[in-house]
Amino acid sequence: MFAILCWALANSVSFAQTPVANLPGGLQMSAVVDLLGQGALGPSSTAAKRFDMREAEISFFSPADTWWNGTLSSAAHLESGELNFEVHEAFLGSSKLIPRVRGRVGLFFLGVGRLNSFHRHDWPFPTAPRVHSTFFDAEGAADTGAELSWLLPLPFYLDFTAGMTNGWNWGHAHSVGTAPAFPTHYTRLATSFEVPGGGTSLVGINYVGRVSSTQSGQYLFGIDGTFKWREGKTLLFLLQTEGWWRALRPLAGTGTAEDDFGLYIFPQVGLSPAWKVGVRLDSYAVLNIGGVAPIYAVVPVVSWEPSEFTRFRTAFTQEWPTGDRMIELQVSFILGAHPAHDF
Amino acid sequence: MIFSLIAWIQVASAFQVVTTLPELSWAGRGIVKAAQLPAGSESFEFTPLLKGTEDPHFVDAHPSYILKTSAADALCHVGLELEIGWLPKVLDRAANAKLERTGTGFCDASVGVHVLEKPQGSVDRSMGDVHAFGNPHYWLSPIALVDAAQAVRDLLIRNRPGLATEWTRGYDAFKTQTLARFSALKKRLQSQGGGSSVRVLAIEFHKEFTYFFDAYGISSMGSLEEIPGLPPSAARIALVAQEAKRRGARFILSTPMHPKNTTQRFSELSGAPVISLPSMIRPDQDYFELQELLVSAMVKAIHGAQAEPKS
Repeated sequence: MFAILCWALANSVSFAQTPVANLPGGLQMSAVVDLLGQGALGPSSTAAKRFDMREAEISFFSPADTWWNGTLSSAAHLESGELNFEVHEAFLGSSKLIPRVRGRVGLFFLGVGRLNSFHRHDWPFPTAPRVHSTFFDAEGAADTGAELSWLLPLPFYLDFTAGMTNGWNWGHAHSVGTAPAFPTHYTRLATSFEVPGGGTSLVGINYVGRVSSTQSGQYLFGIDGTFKWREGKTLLFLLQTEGWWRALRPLAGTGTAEDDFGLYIFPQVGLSPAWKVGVRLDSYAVLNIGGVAPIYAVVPVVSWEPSEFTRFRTAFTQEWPTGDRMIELQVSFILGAHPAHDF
Repeated sequence: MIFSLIAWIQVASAFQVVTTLPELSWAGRGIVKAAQLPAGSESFEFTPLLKGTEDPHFVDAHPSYILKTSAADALCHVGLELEIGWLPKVLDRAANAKLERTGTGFCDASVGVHVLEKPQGSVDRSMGDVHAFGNPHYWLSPIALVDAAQAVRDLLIRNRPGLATEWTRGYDAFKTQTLARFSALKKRLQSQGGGSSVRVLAIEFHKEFTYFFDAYGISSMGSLEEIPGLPPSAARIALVAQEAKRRGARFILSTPMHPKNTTQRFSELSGAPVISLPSMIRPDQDYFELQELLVSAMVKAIHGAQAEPKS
């Protein structure tokens, strides 16, 4: 298996993200390795205090036939000191069947929010902000189901997405889970506008809901925004933000309703095509339970990306009032093909 | 809002061709204009995605591109992997089957171009941004652009076969006009640049003027970049500058996207002035405006700091 992967990667020549399709059936593949080190700064730090391979992902993608494209992505994750190899995404998608409509069926990261729509190695910072890790897990919410997106026939950009997945689990899980009372369902509406003087923004509003087997309802409402201003190879300015409100409701029996809200905002300046400096501001609060102090964090990030395919990044995290303080070093690289990126 | 809706409906009624670069739109408009379509024919609109200020390798898959592409009847791109980092995502998001490789609106303009600098042997990323199918920066050469426009002509014939005669006539006339304007500029460069027997030697920062040099008969020393896509080292700049000085290179051609301090340093060491001009036209600009700017700048550089001589 490993030999086949090596042969296939060696044969996928590329400039930019995608290679010459020189494998049988136009099969393209990529391998992504994401290394992460965390150093503790202080007694309250939750840092792992080691440098590890966080993730090694191998992806295959190609047209399955005239109408459908297939994607299979498997990843080896380091979780609690153990390396777990699992299927990350496996879906059949098409944008050729109905004009302006895209669909996919299979296992995928739910098409909501900003971070959840991208693989972790493509994020502009090493680890998830608290709002994302609390509501979606450290990487994101993936599940098996179906998703449809419709670019509305209007003179401006308005993209509507709706999906439904099993909902036996939420976030990242290794067990089968239990049958939910109502499966995971979600929707997103995104629009975009050009900013005079340069730059483009993309803004989305999102909803995700699920009722677990114990009749516990989880309802997430979010807004995300991305602004990019690029000049040549240099991403001069990036502003990425997401705010989510989560309502947990016991629909039967006893339980406590909980409302919490989290937000991050990440402005980043590109000093050159390779060097980027940003700072992420996080906040998270439980709104309806007294005595729980809101959590805030400041995360300055410096990235050095000598090419599209290699990245070295360091980040410092200071969180209040937990006192969690750490320094992180991320090294990631891409071999072979890599699909073109979304905006 | 109402006005933009009306304008959108009007545009939607035309046959819409989206092109990645403005040059391909300019060529398409030229063909349509010269085709002399019968009165009452539908209109044909060409709209570029890029504004001419971007580095076409490194463009984000903007939602505005997706919107335009979703409503298009055809899409013409430069090809040779120039747009490979972003166009596949635009096409996927646009969900317009007509524009897919198997669709009636697919148009790879590189098909008719005599491609330069096809790499020999295996290519890998240690060689930098090497395009496995050859140098894609052909649109600055009027000869290559005329060749590329054949794909636009064929696209129009495929979609409106009833007007095949008009499209052929339009292309032929476009070719004649473009090559005539090019010949006039080339003659001007030759007469003002030292005579037709003198072959001017120049250098480019990145290999994006190779076709242009080839069309105008300019000898190229190659690129200042040693590895495509990576800024040259100080040693590389010094070595190439020394060689350029020895061989009498007259100028270095660059674009505003490239680091000014690097080309300036090269200029100081070699004595060859820097010509920094865009490598693409703006969406509504005439193709030959940029060609004239380039030729004028080259003539000026060849004559040093003196004013451009009168023809």
